[in-house]
Amino acid sequence: MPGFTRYLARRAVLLAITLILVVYATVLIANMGGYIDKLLKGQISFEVTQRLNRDPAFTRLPQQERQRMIDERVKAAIRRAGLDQPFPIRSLIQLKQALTLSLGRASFLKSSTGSPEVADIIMERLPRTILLFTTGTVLAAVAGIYLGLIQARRALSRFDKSAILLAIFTYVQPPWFFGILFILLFSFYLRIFPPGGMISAPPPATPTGYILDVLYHLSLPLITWVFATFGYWSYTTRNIVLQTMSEDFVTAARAKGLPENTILFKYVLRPSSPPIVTSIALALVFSWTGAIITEIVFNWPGIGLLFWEAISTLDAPVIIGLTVILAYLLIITVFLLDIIYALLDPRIKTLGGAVR
Amino acid sequence: MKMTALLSVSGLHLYYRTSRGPVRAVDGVSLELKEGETLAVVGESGSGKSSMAYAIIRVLPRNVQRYCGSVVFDDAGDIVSMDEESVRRKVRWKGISMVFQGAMNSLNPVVKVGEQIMEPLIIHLGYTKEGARGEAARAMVDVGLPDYVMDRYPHELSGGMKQRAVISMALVMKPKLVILDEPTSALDVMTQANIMNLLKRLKRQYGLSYIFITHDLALASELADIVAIMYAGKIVELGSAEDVYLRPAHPYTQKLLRSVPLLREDREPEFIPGAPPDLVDPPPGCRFHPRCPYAKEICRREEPELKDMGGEHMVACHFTGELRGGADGLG
Amino acid sequence: MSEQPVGIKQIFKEVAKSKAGALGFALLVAMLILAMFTPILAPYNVARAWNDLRYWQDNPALAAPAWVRFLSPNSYSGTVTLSNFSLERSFHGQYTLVRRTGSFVYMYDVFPTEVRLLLDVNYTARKPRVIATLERPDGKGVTLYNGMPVKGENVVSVSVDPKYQKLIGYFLYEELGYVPAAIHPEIVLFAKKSKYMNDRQRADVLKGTYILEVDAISFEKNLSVQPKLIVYGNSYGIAGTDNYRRDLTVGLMWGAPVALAFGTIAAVVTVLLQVVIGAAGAWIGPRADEIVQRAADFFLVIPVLPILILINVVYTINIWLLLSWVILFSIVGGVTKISRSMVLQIREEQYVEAALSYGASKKRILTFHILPRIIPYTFALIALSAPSYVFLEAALSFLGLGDPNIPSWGRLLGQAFDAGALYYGWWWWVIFPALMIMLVSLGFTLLSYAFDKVVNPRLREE
Repeated sequence: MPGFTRYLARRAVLLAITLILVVYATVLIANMGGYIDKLLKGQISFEVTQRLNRDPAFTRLPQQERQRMIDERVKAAIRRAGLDQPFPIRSLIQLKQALTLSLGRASFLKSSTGSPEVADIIMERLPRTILLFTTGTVLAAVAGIYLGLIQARRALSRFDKSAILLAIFTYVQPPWFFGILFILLFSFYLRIFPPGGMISAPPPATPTGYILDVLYHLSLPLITWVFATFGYWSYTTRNIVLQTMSEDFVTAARAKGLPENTILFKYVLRPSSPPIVTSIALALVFSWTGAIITEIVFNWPGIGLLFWEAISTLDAPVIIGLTVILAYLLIITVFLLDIIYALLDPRIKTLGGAVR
Repeated sequence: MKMTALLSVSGLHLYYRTSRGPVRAVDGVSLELKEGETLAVVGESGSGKSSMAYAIIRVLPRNVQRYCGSVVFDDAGDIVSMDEESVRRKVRWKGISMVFQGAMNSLNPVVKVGEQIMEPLIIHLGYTKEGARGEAARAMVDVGLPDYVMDRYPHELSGGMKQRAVISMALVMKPKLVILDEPTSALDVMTQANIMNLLKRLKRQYGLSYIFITHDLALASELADIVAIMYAGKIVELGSAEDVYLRPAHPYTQKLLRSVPLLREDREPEFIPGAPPDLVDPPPGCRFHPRCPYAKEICRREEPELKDMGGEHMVACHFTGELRGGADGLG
Repeated sequence: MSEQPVGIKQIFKEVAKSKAGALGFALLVAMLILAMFTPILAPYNVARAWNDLRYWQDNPALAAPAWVRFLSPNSYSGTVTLSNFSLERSFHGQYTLVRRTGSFVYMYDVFPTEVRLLLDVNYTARKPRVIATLERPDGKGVTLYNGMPVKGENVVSVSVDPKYQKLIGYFLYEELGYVPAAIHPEIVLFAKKSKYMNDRQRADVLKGTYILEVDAISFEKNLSVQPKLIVYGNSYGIAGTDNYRRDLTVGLMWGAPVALAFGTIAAVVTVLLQVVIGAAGAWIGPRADEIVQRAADFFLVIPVLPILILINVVYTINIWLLLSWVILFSIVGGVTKISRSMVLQIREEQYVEAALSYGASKKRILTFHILPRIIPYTFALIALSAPSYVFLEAALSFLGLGDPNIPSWGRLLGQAFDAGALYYGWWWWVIFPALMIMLVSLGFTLLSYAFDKVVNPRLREE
């Protein structure tokens, strides 16, 4: 199938271009088009001057001499920080470093072990985000798809209609919004769950206690996430399955006298699966990006909260590092999806993606 | 030649529920079919002919409001009153199979063609995969399909090949009755002719009975022993092909015959004025009366019964016998 | 079997006929009416004053809505403001004595949350001495203030300022024989005499008429004193107040025009842009289509929320600038793909081929044949995307970004969250803004569901 190979190659090139553009756009925006450089330079010159002024030998020098010394030291410090290059060149250097995943050091933030390496900071946060959001996405998808299947079988019944409304209603409200209400209800009034955080203040000493404590803190954000996102799954699954069910080949299968289960799995679910599988894969990757406001609301120390901390402190290397990793993840997933899609739907392979 | 009826339908009703009210797609249809005979059901689109086919094999959409009457098939009993599981096990594909309108859509796009043909054998007759494959290969040879088609997906086949695949799927279990719902409507003329010849050959070869559903009177004449003309959910004329084509008695049948363009004759094809009625709110009395040039007061009031004019030629018209139409030698 | 309604008028009629559509319309119209009345009921200068904390000082802080008093009269109280005073001026040699007396009745079952005395003093050169005494229903008098106020308004924070708490401490010493470590004047002043009279849980409220007497002594004859006593309750207004005493009703009302304007404008502009660009790309030709599709892919991969947050952190921007940024990031996107595939589908249909064959221009076909087919879907898409923009604005305001000049629902929620409303149970501060956001998004959602049902026959009854 050379057509398919060519199609994949074309996709790969386009996605690579997209990746470069996204990363470069982030570099530009995270540096505010060079504005951050100015801030950093200003800070360096301020610090150098302050340090020199504390030296009594320095204050005894004549004015001109002092100025010369300050300029010299500031220049050296700027060179050391790599800020002597003009911003357009620096942005290209940053782009290259970002694309090769050498993420460098953070300007201000540190990991809890004290490492300023961007990679360390991100890797410390990522597992926590995966724990909450990937688990939540999987649960929501499973529950939602199951509900959607039941709805499709009982389409237009009262149950189906109320499930549609519930699904749309919950999906329209963002998770952080439910998060606020749920904290008030479950945490303040019912006192079932803690209002936020990932672990109690002095963490439990035993490993079992530690795990249980994390699970206890995990519950409310997890419930919130599932509640706010299952509607998307149930609604789309219902509609896709319902559309497949109205296809002639399903009627034909029924006329052939195939048992209902065979019809459901082979004639309804298999043809419906490509778009659903695509959505799941994308949602799983997106779940790695966390959710900024949800993490803020629940004080969950994951990627989203890191994004917020990096943005609030204008820590450009961290912002760029996060974006690059996420862009890579996303683009690799999109590429893998093209292949998975082709495996699930034989029409794609021969038509080279023209079906989509 | 007195044979027992293979299929006997009486008082069959099928109504659909809609937001506007019930659609009376099949409204009291009765007919009989003997083994080896072909019944052509002819009507305009929306006359309820496909619904009748679905009602016979009992593959019903979700929004059925009324489904009653009786459909007695062979020795299986009444399909209408049977439980779902018995219909599935005893009737479908074993006794009656069906070729759906638009073959391109009646094959599952993500399952190989061969597997779809084999499937009923495995499920109904407990064949092994290998056994079913052999049997399916034979069925495919029967319809003139090359054996590589077995491992192809539907989208890799041409329209004609797909139609053949669907027919071989319908024949793989050697049923007594095959319902053909517009089997050639989406095909070009050459392919259409090939398929029609194939259907004729298969009928001879296996002594099949067909219910051939079409809007094309000329096409129906190629295959039909008996012809049923449907209008607005009812049969308006039913009889041997000879009777219906040469001595049409119902004004609708007469109009329908005159609307067929003829190659060798110098006659302008006529068309029937007006549109087929809305099945939610059909006209009172004879449903054809708004479009009928002979309509009288009684036609607006009373619904005509299907009456035998002799020789099992049944017509539903108040003026049966008076309105003899021209026999435009089609046959 | 279900024909698709044609024509915008007919679509709206069908939508309004459905239950969901009617309810959605009703909700949005109610919000619109609220938004239109907002400038009348709470003029813009009130909204302007949102960040001016002095404007709100007569309100109690963190008060629940006033109507909760009807639900549980035993645990809520209102604010009592005493500003009517009689005036008595007498001259004693070179001294002038100005005596202002006023009284109020305190009948609530709970203690006030705070007591504050305002003294507006005017004189020519020499400061007067002012003594304010509160006489309780049991005849005991308590000195609230004894000092030399400056010209203009003096705020005597009886409850909070240790200087004034000390005065209450003297009273407690007389009554109980000792002074507790922490003094709560708002309780002591209104408590029946007992050893628990400094304890909110165990003290009993002394109901009855209280008299405030303010004496000012000066060498100047033209001395004037205008006192005002505010005994703050724990309930206020329709929606309560926040920690800065601001009336949340005003904030909630101003949120309506903000949310509606932002959500509607953003949704209409972005959806129309995306529809037109997607359709045009598909219609013009494969090269334009390719460019539009790649751009859409690009915009779908961009992390919009972080970028918007970033922009907001670096620059303080007003709501219209924020709107422009949002639109800029949504020029192409998901809707572009939808409109593109619709155009590709419609282009294959026979009437378009027919139009092409009789020589209609491409532009004509686009405007007369293709766009009218897409427009019904556009309504559904607009209604569907409006809530996400309402929530986007809410999210940014929640983070304390967005336009700082206008109170918005997201901002109220964010301030509640930051002040710990969730942990202290100040429910009114959270529930009402949340409810408003929910109602608006519910209105749009119901509408989009109704539109979808009309233009998308799959959801209709067969």
